Amino acid sequence: MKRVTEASVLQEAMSQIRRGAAEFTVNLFASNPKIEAWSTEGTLWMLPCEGALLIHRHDGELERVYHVASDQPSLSAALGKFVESMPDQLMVTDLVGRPEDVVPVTRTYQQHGFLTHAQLVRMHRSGVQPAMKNGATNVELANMEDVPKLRAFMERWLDPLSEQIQSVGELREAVVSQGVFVVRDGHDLAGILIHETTGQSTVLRYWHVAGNHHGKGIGSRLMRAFLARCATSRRIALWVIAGNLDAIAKYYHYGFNEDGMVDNIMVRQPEQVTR
Amino acid sequence: MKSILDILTDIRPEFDFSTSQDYLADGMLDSFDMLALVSDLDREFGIRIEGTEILPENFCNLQAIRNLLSKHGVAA
Repeated sequence: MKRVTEASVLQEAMSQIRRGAAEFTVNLFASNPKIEAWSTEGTLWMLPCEGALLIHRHDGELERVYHVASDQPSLSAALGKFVESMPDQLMVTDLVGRPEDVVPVTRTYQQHGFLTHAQLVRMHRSGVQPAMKNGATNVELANMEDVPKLRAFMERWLDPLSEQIQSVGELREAVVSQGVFVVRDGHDLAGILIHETTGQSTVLRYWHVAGNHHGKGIGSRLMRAFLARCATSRRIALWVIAGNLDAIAKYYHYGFNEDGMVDNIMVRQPEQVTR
Repeated sequence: MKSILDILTDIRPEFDFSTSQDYLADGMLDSFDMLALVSDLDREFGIRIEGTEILPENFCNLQAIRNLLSKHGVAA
């Protein structure tokens, strides 16, 4: 196991696996700045194997697992070596793609004790939509003083396995770029919506209302403020848990449609390890 | 045979790929889309884009993709 100290080292190792690979598979889609940030934090590690590279990142109590492999047998051999080296760790991986591409990779992870925790589906809204009247009273852009509250809100209300809860540094960046809307309840947060815009595209990362504030129209106000803000984005995308029919219905209501991409979140519990 | 623009538009119909000089910075393609694009170009033009060629600079605009295909003997 080697610690990744520079993004370029990881990229070179990934390129070697890709070279001439017949059935290349990858689930590391992080941007270069993100990989560089993880390297600087010292949380990124890699395990080079024959025909595959296993990458893992410390994320609180979890190890987030990524792979680059030339084919499924190489991935399987590398995963076997990897889980044997860290038997007592809670591991999580995201397998993203078209369903037919994700199935074989999911099977390979299952062979090594990973079980499906949740499936996300991607939804998107295309084209510049007619401007939606904001009308979102009490919705504010978050400020730097909100960052600890945002983090605490996410830790309380979101599932850390299926939602990659943002670090304090990432939340600060989101606040600076004016990508965080909040509705307050006194000194606390009643609801949050976090998004990232790149050029003509926006990704809705989180939209959540605290459990004790459901049914007050807070979610709707956050969404209207967000859609008014992103009125010129030609594409807005998001991931939602496939079984959360209530949320999916709301997204349809706001003009989103499923686009066929899935994300299988696989978890390997420490107690499932067979020694 | 489909053109490069047809393939790009199939992947992301909401964008006009003929005008942008940087599809990634303009938010028109992401990492998932790049892999889909590689797969579609391979299939459409009967080539095999190598892993080492899957770099943002090879897919950032129409000319960059043309240049990549020309290395594989495809005039598109």
